Amino acid sequence: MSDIILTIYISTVKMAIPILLASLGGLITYHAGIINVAMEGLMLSGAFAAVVFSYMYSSAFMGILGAIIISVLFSLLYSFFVTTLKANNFAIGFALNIFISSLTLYLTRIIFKGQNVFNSPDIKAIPNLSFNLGSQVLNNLFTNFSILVYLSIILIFVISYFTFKTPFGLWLRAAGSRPNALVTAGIKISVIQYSASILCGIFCGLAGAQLSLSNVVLFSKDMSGGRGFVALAVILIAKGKPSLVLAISLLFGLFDALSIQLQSSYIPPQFLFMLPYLVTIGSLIIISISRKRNPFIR
Amino acid sequence: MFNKTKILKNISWSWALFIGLIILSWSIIVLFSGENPLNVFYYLLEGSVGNYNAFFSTLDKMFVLILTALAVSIPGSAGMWNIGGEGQFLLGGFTAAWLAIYFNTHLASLNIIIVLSFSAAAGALWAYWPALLKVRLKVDEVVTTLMGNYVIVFFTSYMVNFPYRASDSTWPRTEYIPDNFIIPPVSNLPFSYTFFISIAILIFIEIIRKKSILGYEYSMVGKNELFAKQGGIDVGKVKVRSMMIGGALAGLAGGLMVLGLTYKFMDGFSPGYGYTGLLIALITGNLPIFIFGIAFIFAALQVGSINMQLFTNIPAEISKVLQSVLVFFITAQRTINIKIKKKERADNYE
Repeated sequence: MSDIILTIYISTVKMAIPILLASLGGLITYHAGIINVAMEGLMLSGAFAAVVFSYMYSSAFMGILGAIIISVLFSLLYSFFVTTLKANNFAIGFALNIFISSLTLYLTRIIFKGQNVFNSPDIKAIPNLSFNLGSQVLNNLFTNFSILVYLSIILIFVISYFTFKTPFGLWLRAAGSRPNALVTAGIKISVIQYSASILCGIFCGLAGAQLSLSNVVLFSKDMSGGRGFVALAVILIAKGKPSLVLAISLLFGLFDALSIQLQSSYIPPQFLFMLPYLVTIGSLIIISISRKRNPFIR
Repeated sequence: MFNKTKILKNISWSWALFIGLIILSWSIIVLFSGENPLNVFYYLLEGSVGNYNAFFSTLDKMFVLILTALAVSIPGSAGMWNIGGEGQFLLGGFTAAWLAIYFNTHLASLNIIIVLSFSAAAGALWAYWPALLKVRLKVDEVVTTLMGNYVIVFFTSYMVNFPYRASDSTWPRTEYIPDNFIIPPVSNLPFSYTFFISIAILIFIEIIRKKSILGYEYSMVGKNELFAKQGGIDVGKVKVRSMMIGGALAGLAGGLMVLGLTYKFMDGFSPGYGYTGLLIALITGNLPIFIFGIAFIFAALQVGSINMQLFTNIPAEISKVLQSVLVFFITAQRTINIKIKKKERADNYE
């Protein structure tokens, strides 16, 4: 029994990390005044680039780097439309999601004729970090996760400090809430929004790399499976607070993990696959009801 | 001084640049595959408008795109985002196939009307709850409608995999619908009356929008909610209704698809028609002639790419890549135009 719990725990952490990373990235643009709906596509582009670069250079590090570069490039394209051209961010976000979803499938089909999956033994996975904490229980709980898992935990604190304690963080939040004050202070909103966008690209790229080089070691069609939008829900629920983002990401990760782990049971798999999405809808409803009852709860 | 020819010349130059850039980016994407872009464009055109058969097959695919685009643009005009077109479309399609198999009045016209009404109702129902949540509890409808899509994808997949799977099928699907449910083709041409139904709806909605109080109320809610409220409009009611109309149209598209094109419901029934409709709605605004035009181009790319796949090494999936590139350029062109107009206005004041 404890074996099952341990498996679910490990799987929860693994599934929560992509959502966590994307939420942290989206959180930065959220503070800068952009509700980022392109995270789904950015994450997918990261996942694809990670596999391609890891395959080409036989190195997981190059995979992560490639994921970041490609995701940042697409994020800049998004920013060009939203910040410079002032296009509707929903419109261009969904266009970008569909563009990346179809482009990655198209390229996969060209490389591996007629298949929806990019899979090869030459793709190097992100190594797990194992170290000894002196007790079997602690080792089980805290070691042997991918490097990105530890990195993302550190990043929560970095982002938290960065957003609320540094001058740039102040400008970032001003760009979203008091743009006029920022203009008066002589700082260009567009510069802030572009930098936020680059940071968001980096985080979504990392999220994609975790999906395709650690959780599984392959790329498949639309493998982000709506997690970019789940991340958007996380941001809306957490109202931009990094610490809450961790808790909510873990909750969604748990249901992701459950939907995979329970598959041997009597429940048809389709109903299990629905679970993470139903939980997302449910938690949005619950949080809205509680906010309505007590508007001062943040 | 007002120089008409100079302005005309400028406009045609910007159009040439616009189209040139689109063709250039399309070519770059084709070049990834190592094929000659000119060949690829030839096969795309041949397969979509090259002969009567191809042309009518293109028209035959348009109804889905027109209706799923309207499913986004009607709630959009009342200030609501309906991203759930995909789920509403799937639910409408499944409802049609399910009803057609389990009930029969033995009167073709009555059958079709009843089944289509239920498809539309199913779509409307699936758009109802996110709208209600938005109006009552301020739950973001973008996320809820989108999450709802995934729920329906898995729900319909379960239905055709387990309870309603046809016994002789290798790919999960329902039984074929009986003959007296089928919307027939137009006099042996490869396209059915579904095309005219969608055009009729497009025109009807445009008339409602422009000429009726209802249409005025919707656009007022979309443009200035506070003003609409002051004017005595029940804003919440308008928003919920607009979403339900959108959902009904997407559901209807699913029903028409089963009765007029596939004659069954199967796993993978929609390769993302809901999202394609979303793209069309986003770039066309609310102008019906644009919806028609872009739906035609999108359908042509979709049908033409199947022909192209036969003669080249390029998978048909390229059609969606080309469609979304088109969306980028049209969005850029529109926003730049708005900027230029604003600047001209500012110049005039000086």
